[in-house]
Amino acid sequence: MKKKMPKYRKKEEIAGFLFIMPWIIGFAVFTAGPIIFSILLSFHEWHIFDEMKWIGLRNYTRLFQDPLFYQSLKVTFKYTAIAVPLSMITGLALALLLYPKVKGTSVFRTIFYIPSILPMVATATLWIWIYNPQYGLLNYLLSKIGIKGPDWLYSTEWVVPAIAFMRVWTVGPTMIIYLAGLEDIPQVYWDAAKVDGANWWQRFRHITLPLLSPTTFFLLITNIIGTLQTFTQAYIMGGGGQGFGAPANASLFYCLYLYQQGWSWFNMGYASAMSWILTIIILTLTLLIFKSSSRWVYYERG
Amino acid sequence: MKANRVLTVILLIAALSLTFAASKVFIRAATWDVAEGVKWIKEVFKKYEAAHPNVKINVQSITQGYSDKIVTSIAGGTPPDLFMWWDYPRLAALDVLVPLEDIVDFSKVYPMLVKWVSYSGHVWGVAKDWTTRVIWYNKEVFDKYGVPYPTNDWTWEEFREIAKKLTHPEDGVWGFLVIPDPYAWEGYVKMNGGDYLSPDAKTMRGYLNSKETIEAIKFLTDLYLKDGVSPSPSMIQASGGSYAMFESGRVAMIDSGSWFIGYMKAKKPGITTKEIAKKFGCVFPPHPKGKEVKVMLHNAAWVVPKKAKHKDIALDIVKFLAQEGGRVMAEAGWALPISDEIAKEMNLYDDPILGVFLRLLPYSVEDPSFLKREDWWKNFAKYIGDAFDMIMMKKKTVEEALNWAVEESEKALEREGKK
Repeated sequence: MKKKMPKYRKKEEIAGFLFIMPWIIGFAVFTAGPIIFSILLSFHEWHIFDEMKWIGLRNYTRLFQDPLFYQSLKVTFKYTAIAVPLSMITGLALALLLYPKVKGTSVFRTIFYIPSILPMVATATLWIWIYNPQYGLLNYLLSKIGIKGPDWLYSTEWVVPAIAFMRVWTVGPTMIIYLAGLEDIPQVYWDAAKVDGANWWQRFRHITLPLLSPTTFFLLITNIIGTLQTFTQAYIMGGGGQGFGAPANASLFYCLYLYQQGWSWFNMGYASAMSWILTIIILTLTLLIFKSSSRWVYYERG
Repeated sequence: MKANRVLTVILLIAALSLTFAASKVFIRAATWDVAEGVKWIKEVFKKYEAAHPNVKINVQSITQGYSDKIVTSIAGGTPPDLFMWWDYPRLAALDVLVPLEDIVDFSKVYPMLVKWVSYSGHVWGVAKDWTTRVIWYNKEVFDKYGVPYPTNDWTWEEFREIAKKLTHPEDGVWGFLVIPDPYAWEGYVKMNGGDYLSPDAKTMRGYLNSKETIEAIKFLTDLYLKDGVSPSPSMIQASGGSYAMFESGRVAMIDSGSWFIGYMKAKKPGITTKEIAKKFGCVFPPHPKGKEVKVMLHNAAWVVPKKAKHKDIALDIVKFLAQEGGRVMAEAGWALPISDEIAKEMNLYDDPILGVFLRLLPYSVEDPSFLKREDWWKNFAKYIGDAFDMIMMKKKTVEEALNWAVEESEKALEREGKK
């Protein structure tokens, strides 16, 4: 027999819906609307002021013939391949260092987190100085050990790695999430292993890492999505501030090219098609990681 | 009783402010200028407001993403009533600006400045201010190394020798800043008899990779690659920009516009050009032996969008601006006037610095490439810029890079079906 919902429950339900209404309306108007519009746009030629012209899949076919599209994909994947492992390893290392509850850890946690709350524009500008080929801090340090550093930002080989290295600077959120993951691991596991004679590496390899795997899983996905959408750093730093994708498109990140197509050249249809290709790429990668997760992600509660 | 009186006063104020508001028309004018630039724009508009008490012009200074914001506001149907612009083909091709040739009397404005706001047979704006590109030199650096000051008739070879003499890595001093820039370098290409685009604006083939163009780009990039008189482009930004390097004497010469005057004024409010001339000088850019100098011009102009809410008043304002001729800003020492009448009346040709900019104006390039095609930046200039980068990084020789740019541009045109 189905029980009728009590009156107060119904009231609560209505209240609940009312409370989330602002968000639902906001989502519908400012997120869902534009998303649907951009799907439609990607099948049109539209330069903002003129009539929208239906061109079917032409934006997509043109995209696959565009060498700059492939260049921007290459740049972005190269960046992701360097930046994601780098920031996750650094984040984990910092979390391990700052996990033990000794005096002053909270101070250090704050210090390492601070760069993440600085605006990216400021951070990027600061790093342009660090990468200055002659007066920069990095090349100065390298010269101390007898290495002549390259002109980091004005070099087709180094500009992407240089922008990727900078990600270490904003590793704060990754570190905090890893710290939370570490807090979740019961101390007894480590103690038991210690009693059994496991050394530091064995405890890390066989207890910490597997138990952190759900955290790693989450961070891997969010980091990959984040890096594939990189914009500000590239916008500010390319060629040391020499403009879009400088030098010679070596820092032409995908989102930078998308922006350029849309806002510098008013090719809104083309830019929308680009954003949907990126969405598909991100979706595929995320699904692949999800698929693989059963092999390397362990959940305590079964 | 008392409450009644208060109510009456409130009603009276409300009624007054209503009639007041109703009689005033608020005009929105957008600019990318900041600080003192905005101040002088307001001064100019005050003159208009004084003659038209029912008009109030609000100046909006947009510093971030200027063109994006203007474009979206036009698309959304709520553009500013007038705004500053420089890349006319982009908007003119989309048919969103009011052509001004039949509305505004341009007789007082320098013909060259009218030419530089024209595209596809129409005039799109009234110049707000302008600058020709000159070579600025730091007199202290010249004195330190005993090099005589340059003169307007110097050649490329002489320029090269002087730049070499002024380069002293041991003191951290460079002779010149080589900043690859398709726009700025077009003057050097044109004065050598080269060009980027064909006269019919259809292709770069045979022009960008012509002997003359290659020679000009070689001259400029060799200053960096062979003579080593310039730091790398990335270093300039990281050293605080060209003006900071130039002012502090870490570089002896730069190729730039009159903005350096504004830079100095921002540092020392009230400084005059005569005072600036004590430490800094400017001359014509060097030219190839036996050929005449040609320079690029930068000009910002006020334009009126077709969808302006108060189009008639906005048009009346730009009419006024063409008559005003830039007098207010010139008298304040902030910008060059747009009318020769005013320049002569104020004896600006005798000014050690402003005189150089004025005398260079007739040598401006007559047919800059960006005014020839609406897709100039996307399908041409982009590849020229990439080619310059490859040359500077020694990835390609000048010939190879320019040939590459021609081919890439052709392919891009083909993809868009514009061949």
